[in-house]
Amino acid sequence: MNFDDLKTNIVNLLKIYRGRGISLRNEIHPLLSGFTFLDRIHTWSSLFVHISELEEDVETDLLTKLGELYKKIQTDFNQRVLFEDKYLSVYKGLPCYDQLKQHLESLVEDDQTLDLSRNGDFKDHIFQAKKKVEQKHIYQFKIIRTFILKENIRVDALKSEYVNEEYEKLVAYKEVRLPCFDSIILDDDTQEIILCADLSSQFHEENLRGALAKLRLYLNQLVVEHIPDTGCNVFPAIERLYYETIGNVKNLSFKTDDGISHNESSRVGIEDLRSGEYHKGGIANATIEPYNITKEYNLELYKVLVTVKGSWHALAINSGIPNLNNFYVSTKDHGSFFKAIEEIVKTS
Amino acid sequence: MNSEAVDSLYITKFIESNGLSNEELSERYYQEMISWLDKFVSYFSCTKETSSYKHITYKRIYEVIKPIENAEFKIFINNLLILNILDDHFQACDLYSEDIIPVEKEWINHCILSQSYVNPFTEESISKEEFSKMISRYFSFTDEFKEYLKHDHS
Repeated sequence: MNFDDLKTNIVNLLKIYRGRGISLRNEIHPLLSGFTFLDRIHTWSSLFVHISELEEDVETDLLTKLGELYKKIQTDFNQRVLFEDKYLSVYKGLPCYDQLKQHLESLVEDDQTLDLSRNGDFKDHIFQAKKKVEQKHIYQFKIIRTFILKENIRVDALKSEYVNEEYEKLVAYKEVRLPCFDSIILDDDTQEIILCADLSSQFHEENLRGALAKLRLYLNQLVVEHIPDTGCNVFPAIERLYYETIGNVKNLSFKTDDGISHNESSRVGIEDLRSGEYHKGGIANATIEPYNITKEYNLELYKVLVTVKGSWHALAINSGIPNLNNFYVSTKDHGSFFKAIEEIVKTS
Repeated sequence: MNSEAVDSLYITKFIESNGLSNEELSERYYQEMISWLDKFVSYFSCTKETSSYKHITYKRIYEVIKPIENAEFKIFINNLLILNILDDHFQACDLYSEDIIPVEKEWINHCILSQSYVNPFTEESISKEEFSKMISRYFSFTDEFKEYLKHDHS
């Protein structure tokens, strides 16, 4: 790769990071540390300009250093897209497991790697790469999803003939295309099939459900016995996560017996809302039924975020057993990712 | 759960309201109903939890008496209504906005009897299936049952 291609690739990859909502300050600066002042630039746009304007001859071995930086970012990215910001559905004991695995394996080529370019016409799922972690086979797909972004714009950004001083506010809507890395995971140990939609924090739940449905449709073309619409019921995990002492509850919705819905979020100043005064006072005087929870677990190097998002309506089901088939997990390594899934689906 | 601490008022009521003979009483079906009733009454008599019992979900009742099959669970709930332990009420949930509103029993009866199902949020016609997805039932404890829970069960 020549110097210019390297710069373009680095900028493009960093643009995907920005699109994924990654923090420049907390996540990217450590990656750039030790590289000519890049870790001191505080906005994405200046970082992109700075990298694009790098000249090969200003420093000896800049090409090699830039090559190493690209590898470092690429490694971080490849690991990150496996386990970060996922919306999942888990299926247990499906008879099509072996058939599915055989099909997916037949699509594997040893040297396949993820396409990390920002664009590409990926209308359908195209098999991209495979990772094996312990007994788990992770098949990754890249797909471009679009969403509409609303941006405030300044009046003086308009051409002079359109400027009107009476405008109080101007907004623009633009279509943003984001590469997403959805995946199918087959666990030989438990025979579970896990479907993961990427970028769960960026899209509405409806879109994420649609992404999982597309994965299911794709798989159903490969097997005779179809994968059902609904996966494991993870609703029971909500109450369990609430009463489990480890981890911090960051968001909680619950119902009380007087027909009131409560929502609490721990923002700044307190790690776990369960130790908040209002919450402690509340649960001492009322019985609660949690139906939506987000928990954060602080590991040594990073945080694991788990959300099981049920609804008031789910509590009303006349069988007495609320049903919920999807949940969110965001982490950075396979150990915590699969542990979180195991904990959530264990009572389903 | 300590069922021995609770008197058998509601079990007696259940036997009387169903006019059960000793022979019928020994049938598995009635024995199971009585044991679930005992479990239910005992739980709420002995619990230390604080509650107004104004909005009780199926889930909450299920959690107290489980395990129970779905068909029997529905019959059991009906028994709680017959025994004047529970009152039932209805709510509608907008599945898109998750907005919840109360709806009157009479209004629901009217929709069902006339087979003309209406979305209570938009007041437009909807299918029976959509209607049953939106409308759900919840319960409150009757004043009579709340009074009963207050008495000394020891």
